[in-house]
Amino acid sequence: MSKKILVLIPVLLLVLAFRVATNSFHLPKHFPKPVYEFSQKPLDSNRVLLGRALFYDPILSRDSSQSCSSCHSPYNAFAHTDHQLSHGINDRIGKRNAPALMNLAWQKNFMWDGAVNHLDVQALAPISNELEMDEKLPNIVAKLNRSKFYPALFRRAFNSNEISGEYILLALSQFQLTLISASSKYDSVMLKQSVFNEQEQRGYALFKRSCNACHTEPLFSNYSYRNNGLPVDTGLRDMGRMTITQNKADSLLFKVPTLRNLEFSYPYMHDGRFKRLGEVLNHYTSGIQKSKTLSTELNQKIELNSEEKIDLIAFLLTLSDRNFIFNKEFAYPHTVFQSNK
Amino acid sequence: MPKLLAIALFLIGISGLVKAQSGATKLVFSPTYNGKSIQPGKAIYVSELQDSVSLDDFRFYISEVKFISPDGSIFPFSKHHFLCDFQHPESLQIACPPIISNESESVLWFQIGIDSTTSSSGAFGQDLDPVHGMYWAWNSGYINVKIQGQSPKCPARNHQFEFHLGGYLFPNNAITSIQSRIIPGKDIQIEIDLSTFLKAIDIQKEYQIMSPSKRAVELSQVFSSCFQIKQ
Repeated sequence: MSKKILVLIPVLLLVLAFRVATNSFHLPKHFPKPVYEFSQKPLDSNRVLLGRALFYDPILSRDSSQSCSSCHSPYNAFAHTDHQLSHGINDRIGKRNAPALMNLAWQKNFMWDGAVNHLDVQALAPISNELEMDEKLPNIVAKLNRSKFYPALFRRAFNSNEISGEYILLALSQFQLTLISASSKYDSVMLKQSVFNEQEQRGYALFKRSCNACHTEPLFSNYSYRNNGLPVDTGLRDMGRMTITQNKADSLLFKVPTLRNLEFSYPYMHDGRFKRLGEVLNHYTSGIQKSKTLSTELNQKIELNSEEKIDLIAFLLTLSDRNFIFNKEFAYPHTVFQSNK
Repeated sequence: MPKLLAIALFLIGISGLVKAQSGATKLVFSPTYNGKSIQPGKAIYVSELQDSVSLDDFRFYISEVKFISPDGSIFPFSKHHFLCDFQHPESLQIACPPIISNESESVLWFQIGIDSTTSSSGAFGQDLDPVHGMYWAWNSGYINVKIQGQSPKCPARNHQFEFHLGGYLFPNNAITSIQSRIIPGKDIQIEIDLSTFLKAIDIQKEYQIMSPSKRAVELSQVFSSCFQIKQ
């Protein structure tokens, strides 16, 4: 073996160690093409790890009390069970229910009202919202620079001694892009590795008849904005997407959420008003409030008898993805924090 | 000797065929009020308001700056986006690219603000880094122009007025553009006379704009009209 090769091997290993795309990441075969442009910003294992550390670190909040995971817990499909509305530092209560985070690479806009136009800038919204983390990016940069281990993590992730707002946001985005849920029973049926039982099959037929127009397979949302006939909460008076567009046609429109993992992500709706799936189905069959902006799909009454509701729920539970919920690569990064604190 | 003379004459001859290249020059932005320089935190008297006004934050984005020579050649500047901040005088001077042209005039063209593609393409670094506070967190998009300060007649808390002008989506696209004939090879002085802006607002009634709107578009156009290009 020549000397040149002997020199090259460690260099190659070093490069590989610092610039390897995540091994476990793959785009599901039965999913459409993602919206996120991976060709321009491919996933990098060091950036994903950095983003994961930041996601679980309360350093992002003004008083270092709240992390992203405070309202987006992996065991709740990255939502916040038992809290109708998100709550931030000093127990301040937010305006909306913390949405579940998954399959974000297929979404064009973010937040219930679509206020954020790209995943790479999404984290700015909760970080700077005074009811959530109430912090400013320059302060976070300063705190991270003072940290014992973050400068090294940033160096490895971005080959730079700088910790910038851009890098913080990109790292958070990279981790969240890996949060792919595509291994539920539904997915295995679609990949012909499993079959629905009779009840689930009946529920699937009902789903395709009554729900699929907006909660479109396989992502179980078309990520459009709809008024689904909820009476306005007079306390919140949340006008939804109209707040962003100033367009009356967008009054009371909210983003259609995915139905994946809804077993874990209760309560439901933008304001978390329904705790159980039964309440949600009852709303669609007998609670729709007509208004000018009501989704056209809901103009015609949805008919479901009590047995059909049970069948539909049986199908919806096939969207539970325990591999996603308990994926160790999405969990609190003990090793990063323990080895560096 | 005759040989040297011949060579010298040849060189002089071909030099007329080579296009002229301008030396290093720069754009120099100068915030003024009626021609007088404005300093951060220093009060200026605005007769229309019958009140004094002081600015503590005045920043704006300049983007896609270029020279266009009469033959259509384009000479882009070193970066696509520049954040100009009157707290940092060095940011108010931008080095120009050399113009290679026979013509004695060219056109300077630039935008004030950030275009829609950049505004919807995620996070960027350097001048576009959201760390500068020129990005709206709650409703994605860049703040093209930030004019903040105090005026005793402003009824807001601490008499503080805040104009954050931006928006990239129809019908509230607030980006504006400017073009002017310039002579290559000389520094270009760009005076931003804020008297035009301050006269367009009634600070007792209008003192806060912090989201894209029709009024933000109107005031962006007023801000654009403050630019006077001189050489």
